[in-house]
Amino acid sequence: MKKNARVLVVDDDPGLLQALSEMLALRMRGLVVETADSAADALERIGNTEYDAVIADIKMPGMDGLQLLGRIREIKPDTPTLLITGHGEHELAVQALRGGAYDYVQKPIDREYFVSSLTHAVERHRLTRRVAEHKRSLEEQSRQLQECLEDRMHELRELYRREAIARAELEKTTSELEAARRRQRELMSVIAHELANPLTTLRGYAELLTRPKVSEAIRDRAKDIVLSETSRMERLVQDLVEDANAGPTGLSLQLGACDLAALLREQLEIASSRSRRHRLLLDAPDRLESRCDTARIAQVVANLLANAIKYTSGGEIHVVLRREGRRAHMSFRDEGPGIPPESLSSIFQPRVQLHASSTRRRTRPGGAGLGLSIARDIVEAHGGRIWAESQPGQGATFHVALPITVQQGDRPSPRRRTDSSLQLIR
Amino acid sequence: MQAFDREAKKVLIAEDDAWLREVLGFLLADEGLDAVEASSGPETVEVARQQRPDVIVLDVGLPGRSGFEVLADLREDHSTRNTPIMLISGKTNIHESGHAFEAEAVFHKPLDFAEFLDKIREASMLRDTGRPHRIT
Repeated sequence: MKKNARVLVVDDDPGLLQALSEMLALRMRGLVVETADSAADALERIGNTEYDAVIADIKMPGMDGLQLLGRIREIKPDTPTLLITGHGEHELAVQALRGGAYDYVQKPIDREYFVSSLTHAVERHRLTRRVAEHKRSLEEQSRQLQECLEDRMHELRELYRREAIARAELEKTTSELEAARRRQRELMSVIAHELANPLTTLRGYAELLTRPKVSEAIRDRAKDIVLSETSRMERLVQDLVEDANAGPTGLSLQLGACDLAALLREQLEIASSRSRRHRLLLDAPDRLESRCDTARIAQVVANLLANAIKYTSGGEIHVVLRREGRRAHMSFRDEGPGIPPESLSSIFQPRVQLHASSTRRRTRPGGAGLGLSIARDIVEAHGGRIWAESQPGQGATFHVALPITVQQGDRPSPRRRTDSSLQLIR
Repeated sequence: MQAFDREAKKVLIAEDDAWLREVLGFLLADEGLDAVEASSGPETVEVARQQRPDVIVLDVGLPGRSGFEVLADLREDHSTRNTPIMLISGKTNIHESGHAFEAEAVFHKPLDFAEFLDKIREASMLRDTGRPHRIT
């Protein structure tokens, strides 16, 4: 035994108490014997100390042995209790066993029997305790395992969650990449398509100029057209560069002070040098300042003017700039064939839809698609709106509305000022 | 202009790009051919009915009605059913469309003008020699 066994002897007779203690100490080596001279004293000790057995006289003043047995059964049900009965008190002995006593010993005490019974009681108790300890220990291990399992489950769930997030991000990136790749393919196809017309026109003039009898008028026209078509192709290249810079998330603007009136004057002057058959009119205030990306807005205007020049064989192109409350409104009206009503909403889409359905032309003729789509991107990046109006046969009007924002400290670059508000650029 | 000065042959140029239309007109004029123009699908059908061109040069990508739709319209109309049609297209995969076989010839932009003009001259003569009637 690792630890000495410990028993408690309870009797109101001090003589018997001492005799029993001595006898037990003598007969059972290493046994620690404690004594109590009343049931109350015994209960207090039992509450504080773990005894391997309790031996109590059944007859005691106050609380007797049977009552003590009952209390022990309540507070320490595992502690074996042996009761000592008087000679022939069979009735009490039966009551004691019924009450849960481990054994009873009749007076005069048979020492051999007593020691043997007590030894068994102590061993049984110690075994019971060891089993209980094992059980507790097993329960503790089981609890720790449970905790460990829950921790792992938690970690696993966390890992799953992170993996799901990572997978979603990957899917997003993949689909973005896929979209970018698709867009690039479509763009290549648009470029090929949009270069086809100016190239054909240029080749046509090259062919004409090899003919012996070509009029001076056609030679002059050839010069104009070569210039115009090459600028058209140049613009296409610029648009492509812009598009390449835009990236999947959209344009990045370099905002600064911008005089929209001066910008329009400049762009109209450039455009008017490209066509002798069009009269370009500007109706604009002397100046109208807002915060915007000057180069990008100039690109929008250039695209719209090129569009108007390209798709009308002549006539007036009327450009109007107005301040309307907190926005600037630009309009570009031409006298061309107009835009079919069913195309009005889709002309700002890149012309790639053309390839999705070979029977439906979705945009304005002749390669305006990319230019208009870029114009829309730029205007929308400024928080503005671009749209077109047209009555078939009565020309088309493109509108651009830009919010006017001015930042403290913005100083517009000095620009040439003009006196009249309605100017004939050409 | 031509050696045998019969009435000049008439070519309808159905093309929405004004500048391309113009240079085609100059080239046809230099060939001694008359050019009439149309810039949209519906206009093409209208002009073809009224002017009875000898050849129609038809851009596949016309606004309003596509070149293929116009082609179908022209083939259904009694007055234009047998008119030779030259399809021109900025796309490279036009032969994948069954409609292309309805045309006399298909050309891709940028056009090879020597071949293109040869073909137009050749097609414009079909009326004189009697083009076989389509069995439709």
